Amino acid sequence: MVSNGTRKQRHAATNNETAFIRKEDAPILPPPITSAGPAGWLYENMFASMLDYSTLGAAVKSILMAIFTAFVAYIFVGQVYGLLDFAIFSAVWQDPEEQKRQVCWTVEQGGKLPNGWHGACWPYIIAKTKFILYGAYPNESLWRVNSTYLLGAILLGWVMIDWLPYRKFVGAVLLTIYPIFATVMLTGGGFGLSQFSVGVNTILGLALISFGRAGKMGWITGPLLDLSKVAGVAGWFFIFFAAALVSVGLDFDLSKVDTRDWGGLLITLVVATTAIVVSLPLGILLALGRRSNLPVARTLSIIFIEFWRGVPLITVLFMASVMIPLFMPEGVNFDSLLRALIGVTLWQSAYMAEVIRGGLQAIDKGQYEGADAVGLSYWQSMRLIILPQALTRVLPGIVNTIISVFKDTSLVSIVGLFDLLGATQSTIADAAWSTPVQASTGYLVVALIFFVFCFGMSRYSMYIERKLDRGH
Amino acid sequence: MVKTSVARKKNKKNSSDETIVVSMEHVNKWFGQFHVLRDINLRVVKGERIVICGPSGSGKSTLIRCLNRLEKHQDGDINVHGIELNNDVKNIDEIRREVGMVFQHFNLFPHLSILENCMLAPIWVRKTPRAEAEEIAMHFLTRVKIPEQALKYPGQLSGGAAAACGNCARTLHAATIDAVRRANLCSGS
Repeated sequence: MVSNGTRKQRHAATNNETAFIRKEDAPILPPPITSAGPAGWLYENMFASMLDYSTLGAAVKSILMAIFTAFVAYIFVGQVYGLLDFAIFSAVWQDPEEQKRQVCWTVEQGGKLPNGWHGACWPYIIAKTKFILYGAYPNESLWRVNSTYLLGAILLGWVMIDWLPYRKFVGAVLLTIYPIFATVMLTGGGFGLSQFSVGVNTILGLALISFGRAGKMGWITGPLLDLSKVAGVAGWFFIFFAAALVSVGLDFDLSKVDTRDWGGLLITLVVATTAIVVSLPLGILLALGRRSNLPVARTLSIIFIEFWRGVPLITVLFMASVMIPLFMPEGVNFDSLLRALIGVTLWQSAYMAEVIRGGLQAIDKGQYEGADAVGLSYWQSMRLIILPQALTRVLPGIVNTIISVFKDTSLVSIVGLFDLLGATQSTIADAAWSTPVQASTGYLVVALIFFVFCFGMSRYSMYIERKLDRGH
Repeated sequence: MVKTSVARKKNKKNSSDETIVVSMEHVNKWFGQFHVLRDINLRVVKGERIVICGPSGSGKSTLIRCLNRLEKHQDGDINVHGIELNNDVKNIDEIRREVGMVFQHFNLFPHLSILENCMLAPIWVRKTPRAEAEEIAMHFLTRVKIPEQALKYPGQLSGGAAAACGNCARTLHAATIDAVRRANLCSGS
C-alpha cells in the first residue's frame, strides 16, 4: 500500500491506454467456503465426490457415492448410538433398595423396567468391581495391591516423561528394586531365609567383583583379563540376586496371600508386564544369537525360537500346568501363576526375537562394517550402532507383539487362573445378579479395560516413533 | 586379468623417516574359487601418500579391506604398525584403532548427529574424555568448514557436507594411517 502513490503518479505520467496496469492492490478476499475451515474439510473429503453432475458418468458416480456415504453414515451412527444407548442412556445406574438382580428386570420378568428394555446393569458391575479388579484377594490387604500399582505408575510415568531429571536412575529402580517390592507386597513375602543360598550368592558375587576389580587395577594380564571384565558385571548380578532372596525371605509381618487368591486385572497386569519386560531383552539376545557367527549360540537360539514359536500358547499353558508337576518330586507344589508366567514369557520372547531379527536384517551392511572399521567391539557396535537403528525401525512390530501378548494373557484363564476375562466370566455366572443383560455388561467392561491399555500403548509408541525420527 | 597399479607421493617433510607403517608380503586372497589378490607385496613408509588405481573389480577395495580385517586373507603376512594381522582378536582390535577408513558411501551412522558421529570412536575406542573429544571434533569440523552442521543428522546433510564429515569422523579416530577408499575416482570409469 505504501508504494501506491508513486505508482499512480508514474501511471498518470505515461498515460498508456493499451497496457494494463493495475492502479491499486488487488483486494484480499477470504477463500471460498469449499476450501477452508471445517466446511472446506467436509467439502473436500466428503461432498466433492458427490456433487459433480457435469457428465452422465460423473453423475452416476456422484449418486453412487452419495448412496454409499449415506449407508456408511447410517451404520456408523446407528452402531455408536446403539452402544451409547446401551451403556449410558438406557442403563440402570443405581440400586438403592439393594434388590440386586431385580433392579435390572423388566415387568415381564418380575421387575419394574418397561418391557423390551435393553441397557447396561451397572449396579452389578459396581458390586463386582473388587472381584473384577483383584479377584479373591483379601479385602483387608487390598492397600498392598493399590500401593504397588501407585508406585509402579509413578515410576513408569517418571521414565516416560522426557523432561524429568534422573530418568535413567528411576528406570533402573523400576527394573530392579520395584519387582522385588511388588513381589513382597503382593505375596506377603516371608518365604524363609535359606542362609546357604544367600551365602553362596553373596560370596560368589563378592569374589567375582574383586576379580573384576583386580583386572581393572591391572593386576591381571593375558587371556584372563577379558574374563575379569565379564566377571565384574556378573558379580553384581549375584549380589543383586542375594539381596532379592533376602528381601523376599524376610518376614515383614504382612499376611501371606496365595497366588490362587489373586485374580482379575491384577493377574492380567502381572502376567503381561512380566512377559513384556523380560521378553524384550531375551528377544534381543535370541535375535543376536540367531545371527551370530558362533555355531553353538546360533543353533541354540534357532532351536529355542522355532520350538516356542511352533507351539500354540494354549498348548504351552497346558503343558506348563500338566507336565511340569509330573517332573517335580512328590509334594513340591510349583506355583501355578509362576508356571503360566514362565510359559507366556518364553513364548513371547521367541516372537520378540523374530521381530527384532527383522530389524537387524534391515540394517545396511555398511553400518556393521563402519562400526568394525572404527574399532568398536562386538557388544559396543551392537549397543551403539546396530540396535538403536534396528529397534527404531521395528518399533511398530515390537509394540504389535507387546499389545498382542497383553491380550493373549486372557488365555491363562484356561489353566485355572482368574485373569480379567476369567474373573468377569465367573461373576457372570453369579445367580444373584442373573439378568438378560448381565453378560453384555460384563464383556463390555472387559473390552473397555483392554482397549484403554492397548490404545495407550499404541499412542505412546507413536510418540516415540516421532521422537526417534532422524529424517533418513 | 586386469592390473591394479600404485602411485606414490612422499610427504616432503618426513622424507627422511623410513619407518615402515604398512607391509604386505605375498598376500593372497580368494573369494570361493576366484583368486582376487595374487601375491601382493606392498610397503608403505611413514608420511607417504598412496593412490591405488585399477578398473572396477580388480581388487582395490578388497586390498584395503584386508588391511583392517573386514576381509580375511588366506595367505601371506600383513603388518600394520608392527602389529601382525592374524586371527588374534586383540591384534585386529588394535589395528582397527590405528587404521582410519573412509568408505565409498561414507557410512555415517544415521541415528547419531554429526558431532556424535565424530565423537564416537574417540570416546568408546580411545577412551578420550567427552569434553576433550567434543573439542577435537569441533576443531576438525571447523577445518572442513561445516561447524554449523554439527548438531544435524546425516540424513539432513548435502552430499559434500556428508563427505567432509565422513572424512572428519574417520580422521578423528586419530589414525596414523588413513586408508581412503575412493578408488573409483581414479579408475577412469
